[in-house]
Amino acid sequence: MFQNNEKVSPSQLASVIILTMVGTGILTLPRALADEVGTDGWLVILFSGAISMLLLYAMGYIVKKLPGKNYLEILSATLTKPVAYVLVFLFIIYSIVLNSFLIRIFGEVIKMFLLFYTPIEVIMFTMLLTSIYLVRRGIETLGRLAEFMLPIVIILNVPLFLLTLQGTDFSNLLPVFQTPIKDLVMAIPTALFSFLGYEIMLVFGVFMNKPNKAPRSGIWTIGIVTVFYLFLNAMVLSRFGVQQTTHLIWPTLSLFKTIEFPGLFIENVEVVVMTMWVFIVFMSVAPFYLSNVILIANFAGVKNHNLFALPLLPLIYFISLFPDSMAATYYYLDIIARYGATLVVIIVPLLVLIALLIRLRRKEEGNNA
Amino acid sequence: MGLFDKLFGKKDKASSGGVKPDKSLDKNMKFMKEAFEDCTDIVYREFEVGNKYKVKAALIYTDGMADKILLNKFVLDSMMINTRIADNQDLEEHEIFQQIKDQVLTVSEMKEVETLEEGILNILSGETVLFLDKYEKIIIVASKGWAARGVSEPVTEAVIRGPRDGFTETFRVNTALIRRRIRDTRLKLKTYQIGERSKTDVAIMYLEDLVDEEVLEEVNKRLNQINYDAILDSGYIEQFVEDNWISLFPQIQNTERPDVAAAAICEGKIALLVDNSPFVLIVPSTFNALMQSAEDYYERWPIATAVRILRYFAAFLSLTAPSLYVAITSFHPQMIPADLALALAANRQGVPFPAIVEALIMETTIEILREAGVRLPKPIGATIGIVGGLVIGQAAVEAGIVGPMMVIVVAVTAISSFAIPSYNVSIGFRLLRFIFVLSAGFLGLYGVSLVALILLVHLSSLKSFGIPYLSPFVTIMDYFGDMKDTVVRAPLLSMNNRGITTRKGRKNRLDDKKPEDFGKGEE
Repeated sequence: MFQNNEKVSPSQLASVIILTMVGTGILTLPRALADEVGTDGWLVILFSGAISMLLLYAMGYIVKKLPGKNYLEILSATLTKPVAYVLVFLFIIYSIVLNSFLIRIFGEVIKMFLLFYTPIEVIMFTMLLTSIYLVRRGIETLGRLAEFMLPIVIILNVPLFLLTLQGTDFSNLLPVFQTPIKDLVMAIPTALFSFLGYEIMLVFGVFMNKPNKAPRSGIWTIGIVTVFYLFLNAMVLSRFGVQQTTHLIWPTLSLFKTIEFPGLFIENVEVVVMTMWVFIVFMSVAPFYLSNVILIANFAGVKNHNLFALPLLPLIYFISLFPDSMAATYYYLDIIARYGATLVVIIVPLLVLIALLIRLRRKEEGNNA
Repeated sequence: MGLFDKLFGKKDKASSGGVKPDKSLDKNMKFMKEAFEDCTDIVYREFEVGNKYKVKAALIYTDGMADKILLNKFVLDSMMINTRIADNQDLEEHEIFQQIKDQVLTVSEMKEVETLEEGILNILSGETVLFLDKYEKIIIVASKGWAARGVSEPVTEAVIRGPRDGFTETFRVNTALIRRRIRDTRLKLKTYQIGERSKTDVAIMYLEDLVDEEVLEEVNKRLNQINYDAILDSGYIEQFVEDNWISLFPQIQNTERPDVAAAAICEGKIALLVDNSPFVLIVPSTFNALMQSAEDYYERWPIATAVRILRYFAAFLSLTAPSLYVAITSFHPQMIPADLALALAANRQGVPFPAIVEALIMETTIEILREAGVRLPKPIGATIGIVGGLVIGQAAVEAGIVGPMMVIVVAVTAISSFAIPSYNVSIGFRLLRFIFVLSAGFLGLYGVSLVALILLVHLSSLKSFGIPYLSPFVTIMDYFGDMKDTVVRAPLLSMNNRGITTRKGRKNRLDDKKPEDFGKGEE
């Protein structure tokens, strides 16, 4: 029989991570940046990209050095078992909440642009059910799907960006280097959270068939996303200018809404864009969902993670309905991103890395002695 | 060979048990006649051979399956008449049997078996059994010959350019059609007999040095697992060996064309030939392979590429056109340009149903028409097309039941589905189309995207004998060279790569020559 032990190639995992990251950050990044640093957003994106790259490289390094170990085992091996269980539990809570709010925002957007009269609950529920279908198929399917989708997303984005060129004013991008360095540094967390999603590297790393390539694939993963965000930021700013951008809830969607193309058969390109956006959000929600389910299975010591796919749905569903409004959702999301992500994305991997390096050093010394 | 011995060790299972023939011809004949009791199509012919030593002999065969002319002329004639003329006075008795085999039987193919059960199976396969008195083996004379359909043009895979011979129902003709295209000792052919009662001949053909051993082993394993009364068509085998039996999508390609089978074998795939079926199965198979037509490779590459893009577009239309229409008209009218929207509204004025009901009515009608068209004799089939397509469509619009736009959409969808080369893919799409229409009716374009996502997830999860079903689209980075033969069809001169189905390390087809190296002659 074939080895069917759920493996993904480095490029498949990279595609998963790229799509996960883009799905979370794409909507609000330009507004947040325009709010804080005006026209210097690109600098912030570059900085945050560099930081993310280092972090993902570190995670890749951990995966490379501890191949075949799941998240819990990685933490147990480096930070002792009790600490590992606490941190995994925090990670689960963090990503359940993050996923819930993602779903909520998705529901709100779909309701606003596509289905005006459909209850948001139906939209969210169907999306979650679709995600569960993927979750039950496992990581291998997710990897293949991501590798299939990524080129299509890239190819479809090129004409969209070209279409938005009409009516842009690139002088809106100027002036540059106006913001004091202190403000730039303060803005980095905002941009950093638009890159969220790559923390699943540590969860999915165990499924990689060539863990040696993990660190390198991390570099171009972040590289692609950084370039995409730079483009997006530039297009939005040059189209709307700083002032207007700060007043838009979802500047990215507004950008695509402005597309007008004489002779184009379709009147409203925004509907097409929204339809494609469903795919992108799905590729962001489903990996989070899968990583949740896998982590819970690890936490509970159960091999078959499928068991947890369906029971998780009501939890995510109710958490996503918890905020009263869009503003409240973003408020909570901001909190979760600031504290949760700092812990999960920055502190934990760095701790693991340090512990791992110490361990390796000791081993080396042991060998030498 | 060690590997293959291990793989196919099961082959000699039949000879292990069974009743050995007796020395006495009468006892053997009694056994056979008991076995074939109430089988009136079995013919027994007892006769005597020789001059000095008279040897009693008997022929048994199935009437209608054995070639009588061959038996009369080259078995009975030789044994009954020529042995009497021949000078064999000084022969010992035991030498007679060897003499008969070596010098008397003037047939090209002959073998001996040890048990009566094997003899019976051979009789039922169309061979003729020859019993000789006092001889403890059974001689089998290859006499298969029955009324069979000749090699004719494949019906389901017609091409404009390319060979016009197609597989037939006769197993040997089919293997010969492939062998004629690959004259290589490395082209192997292993035979199985599957089916508790039908004992159908099933063969796998593959190139020894290109096939992936894991796939080969898996095919062997899955074929040996089959236990069923009768294998009447390769469709049975397909369902027994495929990976996912719930899926709507065929994970095994079937073809009526020997050139397609030969091309697949050259990519390291395995062809499965089943007796009595003109459809040869090809494993492992990918969705991409099911969207290809043989002609793509015979025509010039830019045209073939254009046709393939068109085909994928047609597949997209046949899957989603009605659902897009339903979604846009009932949920997103703002997408339609104002003029067209007005025209549409005017057209639909008086139609009492919502778009989804309209679509379901028309889709169901066209499915009924299509099904009826398949069953009817050819001359009447055309009439159904005219009556159904033109009259009902026209009348439905005039009666105000459906809008004219809906009729156009449904017609385009139906035609598009015929542009998909594989019938078994297009019937899957037909069913999925209804799911798309329903979801579009409930959730608009969002519903369409959700169903499309589920479909993509499902396709990504499928595997055919270990090969991802959507490859090379889902293995772009690892097998980028395979993309040359997908939606595009690169020039043959640049297709150096044999692809994911070939054994690893055997990927190079053109010895790394560049396109510039060809077509120049000697320098």
